[in-house]
Amino acid sequence: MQPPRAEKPSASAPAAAGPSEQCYEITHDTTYRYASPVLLSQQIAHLSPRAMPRQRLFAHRLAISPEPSTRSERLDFFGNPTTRFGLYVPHERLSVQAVSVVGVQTQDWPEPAQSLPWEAARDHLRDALSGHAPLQVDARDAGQYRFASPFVQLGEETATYAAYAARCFTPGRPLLEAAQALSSLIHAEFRFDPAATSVATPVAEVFAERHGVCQDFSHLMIACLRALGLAARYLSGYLLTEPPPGQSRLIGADASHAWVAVWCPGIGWVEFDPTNAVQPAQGHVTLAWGRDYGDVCPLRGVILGGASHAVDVAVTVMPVPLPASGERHAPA
Amino acid sequence: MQLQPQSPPELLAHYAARPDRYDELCQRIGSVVVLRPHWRDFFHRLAAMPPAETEARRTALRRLVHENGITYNVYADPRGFERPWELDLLPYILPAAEWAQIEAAVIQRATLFNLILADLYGEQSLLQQGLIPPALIYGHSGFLRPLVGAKQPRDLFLHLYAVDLARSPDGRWWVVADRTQAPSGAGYALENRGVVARALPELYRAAGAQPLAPFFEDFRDSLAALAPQGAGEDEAPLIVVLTPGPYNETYFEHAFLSREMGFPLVEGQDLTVRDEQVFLRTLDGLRRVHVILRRVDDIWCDPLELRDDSALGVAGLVATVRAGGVTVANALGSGILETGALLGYLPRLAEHLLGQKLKMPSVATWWCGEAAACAHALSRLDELVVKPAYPAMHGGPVFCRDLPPAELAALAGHIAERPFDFVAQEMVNISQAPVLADEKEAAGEAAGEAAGGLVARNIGLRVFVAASADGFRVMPGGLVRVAPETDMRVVSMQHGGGSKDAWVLGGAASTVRRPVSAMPVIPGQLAPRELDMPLPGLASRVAENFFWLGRYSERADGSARLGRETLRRLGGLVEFDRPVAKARDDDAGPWATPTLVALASLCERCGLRLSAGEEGAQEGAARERAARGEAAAQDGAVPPPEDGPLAAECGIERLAGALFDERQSGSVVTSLRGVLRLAAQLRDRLSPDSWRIYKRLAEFATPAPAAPGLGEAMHRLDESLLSLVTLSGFVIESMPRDAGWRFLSIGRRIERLQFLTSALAALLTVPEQGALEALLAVTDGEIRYRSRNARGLAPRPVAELVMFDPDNPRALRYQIESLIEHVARLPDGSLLGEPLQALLAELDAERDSDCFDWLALDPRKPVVAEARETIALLLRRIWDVGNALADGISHRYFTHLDARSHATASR
Repeated sequence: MQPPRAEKPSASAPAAAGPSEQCYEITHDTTYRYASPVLLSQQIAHLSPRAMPRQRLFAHRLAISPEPSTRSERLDFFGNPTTRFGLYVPHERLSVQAVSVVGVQTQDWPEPAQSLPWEAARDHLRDALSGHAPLQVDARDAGQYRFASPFVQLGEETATYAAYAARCFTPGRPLLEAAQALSSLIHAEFRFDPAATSVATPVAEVFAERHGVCQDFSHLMIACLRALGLAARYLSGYLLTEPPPGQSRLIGADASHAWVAVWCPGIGWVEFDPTNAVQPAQGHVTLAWGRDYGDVCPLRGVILGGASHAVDVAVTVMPVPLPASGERHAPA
Repeated sequence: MQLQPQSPPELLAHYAARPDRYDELCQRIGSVVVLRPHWRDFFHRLAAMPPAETEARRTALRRLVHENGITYNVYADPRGFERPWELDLLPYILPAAEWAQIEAAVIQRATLFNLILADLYGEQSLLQQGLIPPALIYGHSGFLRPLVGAKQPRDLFLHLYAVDLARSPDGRWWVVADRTQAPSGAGYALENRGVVARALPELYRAAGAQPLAPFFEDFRDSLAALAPQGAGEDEAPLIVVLTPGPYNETYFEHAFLSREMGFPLVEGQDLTVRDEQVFLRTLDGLRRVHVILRRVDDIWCDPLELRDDSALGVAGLVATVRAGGVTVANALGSGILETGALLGYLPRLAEHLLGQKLKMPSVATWWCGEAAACAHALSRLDELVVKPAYPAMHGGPVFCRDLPPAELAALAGHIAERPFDFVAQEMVNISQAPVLADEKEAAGEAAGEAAGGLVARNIGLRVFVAASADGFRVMPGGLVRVAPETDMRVVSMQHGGGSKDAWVLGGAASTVRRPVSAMPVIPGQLAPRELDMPLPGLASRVAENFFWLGRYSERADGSARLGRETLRRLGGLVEFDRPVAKARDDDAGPWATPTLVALASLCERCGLRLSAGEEGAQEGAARERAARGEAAAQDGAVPPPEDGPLAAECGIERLAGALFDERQSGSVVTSLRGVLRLAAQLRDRLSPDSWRIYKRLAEFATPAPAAPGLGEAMHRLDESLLSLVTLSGFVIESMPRDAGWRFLSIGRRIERLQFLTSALAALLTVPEQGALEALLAVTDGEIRYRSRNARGLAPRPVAELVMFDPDNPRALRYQIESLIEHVARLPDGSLLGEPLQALLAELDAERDSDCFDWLALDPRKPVVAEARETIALLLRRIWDVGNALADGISHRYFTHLDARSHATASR
């Protein structure tokens, strides 16, 4: 299913539009094969990379086969572009191909040691959200990501996650330094194992079994941060398939990827990738963000019929030259 | 207790007013306890009633509750899944003046709540201004982000709202809880009114309580007026009641409201979304749905955008609501207000949004997510009740007073750890009202004295508010919930409480806006609005249920007749079998005669295992499991006739055991259970009278603990058959000839066709008089045979009667003709009818065949074998056509097990 990639230029020399912007062409193929015909299918895709200060979308095309009966676009609650479509004719196969051309600027994350103590961030958020302190817009927005969500259940596990996080979040430690340490801790203590978990594996199980994939590690890190009273969100996106010369290939290439952002008062959202124990740089392309995987699932659907199904996902992220004009083209 | 002289003391001998609670019946003036004025008239009329009469009224009330099938499903109730509704004979009475205050307060609250919802799912200015702490909303799993920005017709979010009230010792009313997404109880309140008004008609008339029906009529009109703009000019809006299904605790009410208001009762799988409109799957295709009155909770309503593991919802519903294609009542997301955390903020919200003071306070509640409130709650935790802040969380109220110090400290620790998750509430000593003591209470409290006297129970009042064309309107009455024991604190139906009808007395004439008929308005007497709504096509699922209801009831009938006849013969209750042609002289044991061998083989074919061993029982259980998924249950039907293995040894005990063993696919108990399960699912479409017959059948649907003796088994079979016959009489006489009836009839005819082919194959060709007798017995043909044939039994006239007689409703030909007629009336039915036409021709062609005469000859002659072969082939062919028809109908008209919706997600 992967398109040929041989003739794509190398990533070593990004072209034009300033030295700090790198352009990628991303192909994300999803194919469902059903054991018996699906009579009715409704799908929501989070497959169009969202525009943000350090990321431009030059071109995007979402090809769906068979041709959907209805199709519409909308921004979801979190501001992510979504496409919803319905297939009302029986089909035994559904393939969705998203091709996006994205420019990503290098990101200079703040110096972790310079951030405020994590307890100050916690208290700031608490006061803002309980209606006591004057409410800043950014704190209100961050509050969306402060609490348990469908894939990040806390409840009675709260204390467990808080205790685990406390190994990094020692009293008075700068928030970002502690978050970076937590990301490294998860990377060190959890085994990457694509066979161990599914999209529905609860965080508690990941925590107990000490293995999972990027989605699981991100959920766990979010659970730890929220258990401490901090706001953390889930980002879905891609990693560069072939790293620049001299750098090692990161885990999660050739598939969609996920990582985490923590909210730091006065600074905003700062990202961490616990799967690779890095802070996302130019090789991370953001698709969407939300409270957890459930908010940004690349392709979520409900089908009538179909019995069992198999799904194949293939992703390639190839560096390409920046488009000549440097301007955004209308989606093809 | 001292009372006014005219009060008969015996009624109140065990009624204790308490100083720490408000008593609804009595008040203390100085040192004298007197009845409150609004109770006096009712009380004296009740007191004037002889005790035996009061007891008779209560018996009548219980019978009505039983016969109307009013139930409340209680999870894990030892008395069984469906529990009879507990209803006290005595109403709860409120005077008009006091009611007017309650009415004003709950209307204000509904108005306020609607404005809060409009803001939370719109501008969110309340969050921006800090009037509601954002944490309260963001931490609430009922905040449905996909609905933010969705517009509701007329900005109406709350269509039906319920509020739980309690009265404190000083007589003031407090709000204890709010039900904002899919409140239950309004239907039970209406049903309670119907039952109590029938049990105490003269007291009800004398009291002049305000009727409830206008409330429902207004609500119905309001829903109809809220159909989306541009909904077909040529069709009336289609309003449906969406239920989670028969296993929901208040399913009775869903069915009841659906019937009373004339809205079809549907489940999520009956609805489908196309192009941002909702449709009902019917036999005639898709029908647009305009308004959904939902009894499914918020997060389960759409597996695509809400909980993806929901099998109860409708995929795409959220998007349809956003696009304005359907009105959902209450609006999706309105469950956000069901949290105690909000209560403390309501006074200032009322001032801000309405410019009014809150008319009725909420029970003092501290949300621990607010630091000051949390500190206050922790400082006096031992006096408070702690609850989860959000309804989705587990755990009930904790009365901290009851906790040992270590547990109290642990709870305080949890609160400090995750304060957002808890609320602490002041304990309220709720009021008490009189209930009629039941027999065991009277015996317990004072030996033998005053059964039927009054005792005091704690109560809570649930009041209902509905949108109407001119604003919110309150049901004049409500559902009174009664604690099961004296001084019990928790009042909850789920915890075994009872209920009462609530009477609001007279009131100013202006509050009764409609002319009130002379008769008390009772359920079933809502104006027949169905007449001006077009009858919606039958939902496929409902058709499927009717079809299987027909099949199971006929299957029960066949098994019972077969079992009865076989037992009769085994028990020596008929003359010893005589061979038709030549006697056989070998014999060994009760099964040795050819007739009994044939009957045993027929029993096995019908799913009654007579052979020894566990294997049989296991297979029976497997079949029963298969039969539960009806679409795949063809194997639960009568298998094709063939010469099966004979039961080696068997007796009365084994057959009697098999007939009432729920693990056997063909047992009477298994089939009756199928009947009852389907009847429960079709409840909204069954009349109260037919429901009573089903209730009676339930007695025979319980497995016998051990194999019953011959006499008892025969009795059970006779009684089951009597009820089944009553039921089919009802189907013939009273059921409207609609699509549901047609599918029920088709199910019956197919099942009977299959049973007849099997019985004929087993018995017609057996060279013994007894086999023909047995054949006539299981097909109920003895009388007709005797009236037509003076000469004794012979194969041809028996075949005439059971195979070819067009006027015998238990003959093969009758089933086929009847099926042809029914199938022709189905949409696209002509194709299905063609094989039946061919079959009828084939059957008629065989009528004059010599085969039936040859059967009477010496069985050793070759022509006899030839005749048996011919007849067996014909019967086999009939069976095949019947089977193919059942398959064809299932494929064309029913929703399939393998075609249910499920969610998918990719990484």
